[in-house]
Amino acid sequence: MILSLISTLLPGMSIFMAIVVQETAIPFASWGILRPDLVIICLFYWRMYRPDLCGPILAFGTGLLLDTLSTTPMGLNALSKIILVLLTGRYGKIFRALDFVLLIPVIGIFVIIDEAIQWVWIVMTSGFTFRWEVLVGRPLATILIMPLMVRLLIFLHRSWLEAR
Amino acid sequence: MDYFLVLIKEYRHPIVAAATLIVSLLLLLAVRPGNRGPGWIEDAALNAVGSIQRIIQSPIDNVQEFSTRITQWHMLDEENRKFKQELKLLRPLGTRVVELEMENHRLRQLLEMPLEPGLRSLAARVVGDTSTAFANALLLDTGRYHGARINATVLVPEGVVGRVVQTGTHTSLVLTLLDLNSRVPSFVQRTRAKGIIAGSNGQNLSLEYISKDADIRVGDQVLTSGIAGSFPKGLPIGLVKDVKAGDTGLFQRILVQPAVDFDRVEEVRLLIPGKQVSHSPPTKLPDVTRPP
Repeated sequence: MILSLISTLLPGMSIFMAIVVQETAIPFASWGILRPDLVIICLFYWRMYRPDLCGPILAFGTGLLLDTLSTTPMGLNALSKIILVLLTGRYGKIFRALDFVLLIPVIGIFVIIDEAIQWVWIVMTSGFTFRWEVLVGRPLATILIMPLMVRLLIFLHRSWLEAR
Repeated sequence: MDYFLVLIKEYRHPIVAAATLIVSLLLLLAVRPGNRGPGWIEDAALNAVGSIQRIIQSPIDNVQEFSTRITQWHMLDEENRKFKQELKLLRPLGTRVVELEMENHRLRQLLEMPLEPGLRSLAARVVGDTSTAFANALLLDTGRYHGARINATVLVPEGVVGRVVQTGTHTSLVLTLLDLNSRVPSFVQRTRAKGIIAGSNGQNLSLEYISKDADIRVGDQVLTSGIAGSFPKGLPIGLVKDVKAGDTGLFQRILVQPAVDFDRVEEVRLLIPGKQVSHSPPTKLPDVTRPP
């Protein structure tokens, strides 16, 4: 019973761990620019392979937690993550049919979309700001870490969700 | 009624999606930066993430310590011989060391004096950098339990880092000067011209509302002015890096290089209103020529 409950909470728990690692365990200078977006990888993976366990509500909660931990306006990460989850759901069939190598640039594009949504809002409310090194660094780092992260998620998926 | 229930059931996915999107937009429009909604939710989130972070960090720290010890064991014999030789040479200096230690103690007491009466300091360690492309924030391992308060000034020896915007039981979130939402009343030390230091999410700060006729030069020191009470007066912020008058507008465009290297901040000091716990502010300077 408890194990079954944990299994259904697995996407949420893995996203929470990704937030902790991304926001606190990969800290400081060198990672400031090349910091991978582990949360988007998790959301993308679970929405694609277990859409029943990863919907807009989970994306909303994830975004709010990210907004709380950073100083971005409340609701901004929530908005961008919901849009990404809806996009993944909309094109999920196509993505699932693609080879893994082709999904790597897709993740890069998703990170860019996430940053673009946030950038547009920030420019509208707080004036023009642009840090190209962060805007480029994050998609690049996400693409580089993606194979390892997806391998871990596949392991969790197979050992906890499919085994039960 | 049944018709509506069937309709809702059939279209529940689009309805949930639309509802979450609308709530996000409402939050964006309703919650102003600096007034971030119910505090207990943010406290709970900070505490949860802080706890997990400590669990993750402790084995990493242990492994690092273990590997350092193994490396040290290799060099132990050689170091032992070297230290014995050095000890023979250094023994006569023992008396001098005791003298210096006493002087160090006195100077340390001076250093611990509060910057202003009514402020006490609190040491904290930076345990996370929660910055994104559009926000600059640091996570500290000190929270309400240790005495941290919202709006406490965060300092390093070089100057101001920012202020605490959120406190959990064991963690605090610091809005750094670089953040787009950061505004600090300040003045130029040489000319006393007052302005506002604003973050731009870049590596530099901008000194705003300085009139065109004010004499500002590259290299001028910028300090906190103490106006509005959130930051004590006279704390270093940075040096003027570039000044542009422009043809239009009332104010100069002034770029300030922060005194603090935000990428290398590890330990910080929080200035909190209240009496110092370790010692009361001295009414006169102590006699540094006599041992304590």
